[in-house]
Amino acid sequence: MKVCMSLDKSKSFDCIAAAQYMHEFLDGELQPDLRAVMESHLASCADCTATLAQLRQIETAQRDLDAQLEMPPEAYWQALPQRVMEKVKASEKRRLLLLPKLPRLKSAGKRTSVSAPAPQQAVLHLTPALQKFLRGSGKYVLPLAAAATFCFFVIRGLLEKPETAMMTASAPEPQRVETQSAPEEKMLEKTLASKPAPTAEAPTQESPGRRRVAQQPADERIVLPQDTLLAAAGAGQALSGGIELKTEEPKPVALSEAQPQAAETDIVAPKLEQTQSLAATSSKTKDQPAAPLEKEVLYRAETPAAMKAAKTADDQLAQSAESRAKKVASPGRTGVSSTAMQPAGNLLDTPFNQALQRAQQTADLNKREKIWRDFLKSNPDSSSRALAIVALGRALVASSDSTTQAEQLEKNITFFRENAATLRAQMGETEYDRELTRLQMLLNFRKSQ
Amino acid sequence: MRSQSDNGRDPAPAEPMAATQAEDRAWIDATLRGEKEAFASLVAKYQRPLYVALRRLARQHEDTDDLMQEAFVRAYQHLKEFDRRRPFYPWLHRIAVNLAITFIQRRSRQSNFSGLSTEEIFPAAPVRDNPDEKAERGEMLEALESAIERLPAEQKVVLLLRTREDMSYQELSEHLGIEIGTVMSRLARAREKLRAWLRPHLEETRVASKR
Repeated sequence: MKVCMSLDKSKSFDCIAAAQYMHEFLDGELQPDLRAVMESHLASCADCTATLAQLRQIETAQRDLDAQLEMPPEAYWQALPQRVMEKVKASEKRRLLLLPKLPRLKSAGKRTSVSAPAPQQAVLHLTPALQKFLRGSGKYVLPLAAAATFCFFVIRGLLEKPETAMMTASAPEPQRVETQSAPEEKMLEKTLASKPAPTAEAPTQESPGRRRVAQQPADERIVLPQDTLLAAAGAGQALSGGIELKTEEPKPVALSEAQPQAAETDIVAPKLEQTQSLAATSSKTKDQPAAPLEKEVLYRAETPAAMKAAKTADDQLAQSAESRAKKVASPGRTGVSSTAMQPAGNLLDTPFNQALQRAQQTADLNKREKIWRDFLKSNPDSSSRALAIVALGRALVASSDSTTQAEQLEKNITFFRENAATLRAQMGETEYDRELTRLQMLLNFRKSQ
Repeated sequence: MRSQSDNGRDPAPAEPMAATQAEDRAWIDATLRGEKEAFASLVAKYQRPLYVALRRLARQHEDTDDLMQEAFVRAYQHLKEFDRRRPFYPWLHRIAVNLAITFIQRRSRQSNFSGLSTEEIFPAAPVRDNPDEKAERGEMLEALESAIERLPAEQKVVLLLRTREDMSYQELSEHLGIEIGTVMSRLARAREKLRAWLRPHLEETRVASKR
């Protein structure tokens, strides 16, 4: 032993040195020359001899403990080989089902002489750092990589179908007159989205009577009745001799607050200031700054006839707003008008707008006609009666084009004549006369057949 | 490993002779060919000496039984790497002792002795007018067993392997992967602790021996 060799063997041990070599002496590990020195010290020192005796007594007691161990009965020895083999088979099944367990790290290289099985030999050839990583946090690498790959393919699959995603995101968006190609429509939508809405700079406290269309979801925007647009388009069709509008499903037309667009196929309706009057008549909104609310109706058309039809539809909206403003400002109503105080969403809950929505949801012209007739019957005093008459007139004009019954045409002409005053005011005299003339020509044509 | 007969202990396994080694080699070859019953013959041959070795370390039969089965399963799983030029039992014994070391260290960490004082764990030996030497010896062994369990794991492993497996310092160093100086210091500390904790029993025995 190195420690032993460093001592001066010629000197005799004192008790401290004897205590240092006591255990080596006890275990028979002390070198012979030091053993002789130790024995001479023990012969002259009673304390060290007593210490050695106690240590030997403990050693003997340990062996006595081992001697007291009872061996198991013979049945245990007979059953043990079979139990071991069952466990061996179970471990083999587990190894087949699960990933092989990695061998323990040979940290000091002396802990075990058991080498790893052949399939795991490759792991032992790895660097210790890599082995430690694979047994530590690295065991999560493969599952995480698999999960990341799965997510990658899922996301890529979604990105490869952007049109589907856009359709899903903009499902409730109101329908527009589809006369443009899809790429042009996308460019137009991008242009509109890039324009800041004028109301964005308005005060946070919004006037109750004002409607902030741009800040509402697409499905809550102010809508223009589809049948009105249809009627307008029908009028334009009569004038131009055939513009075809895609109106498969009646849906509202969106009103945005974007700036006027200079695109060739876009039509920007004139500004509507009626909503300003709504806010001005409200007593609670007098002290609040009423920023001009510019409402623009955007249509896309390819022909001047469609442009005019769209403009007509916009005029309908303007008249609707004007009639509401008159209703609010009427002398018979004092104080704050409940209509003027209603937010934009509640304005749509009026009987007129409910009838509009029902008319939009059906493509059957006869049903639309019935809706408006019912509205006029059930709401004889409605302020929107003029609008309902116009809407009914549009529906009759549209249905007249397809009807083959002369009696129906005569009824439609009668309706036009009975409501001449209202229709002239709403449609304009020239257009009214033109529509009436067209109905009469259709009647003559049917009669001649 | 030193000779077992030096200190009067029974040799754990009968050291396999050349014929025994040939028999073991035949069973090992048969096992590697897929004849699992051949390995059962190896188990039956070495189960008793291995049990004794493990029982000395684990003390309890249930723990020893678990270690026995685990040791044989490990040996079966790693049988392809066994050097057939060497005897089988020392290789098997080493696997078993490694498992026992892990078991002892784990059990030491779970021991609840840490919250008790030395007096609570090792009460003073009762003073009797006519002490029954046999009963006194039993109390001393009981106290010794408790004291060994209370030792730190690293000291306990060195002490048990030295005393019960009769390993030399060099073997302990190789087996545990520590320096020989560390083996000596751990062994010395363990023995000094035992001597201090068991002093009442040792003194009485010493007095009795002087009588």
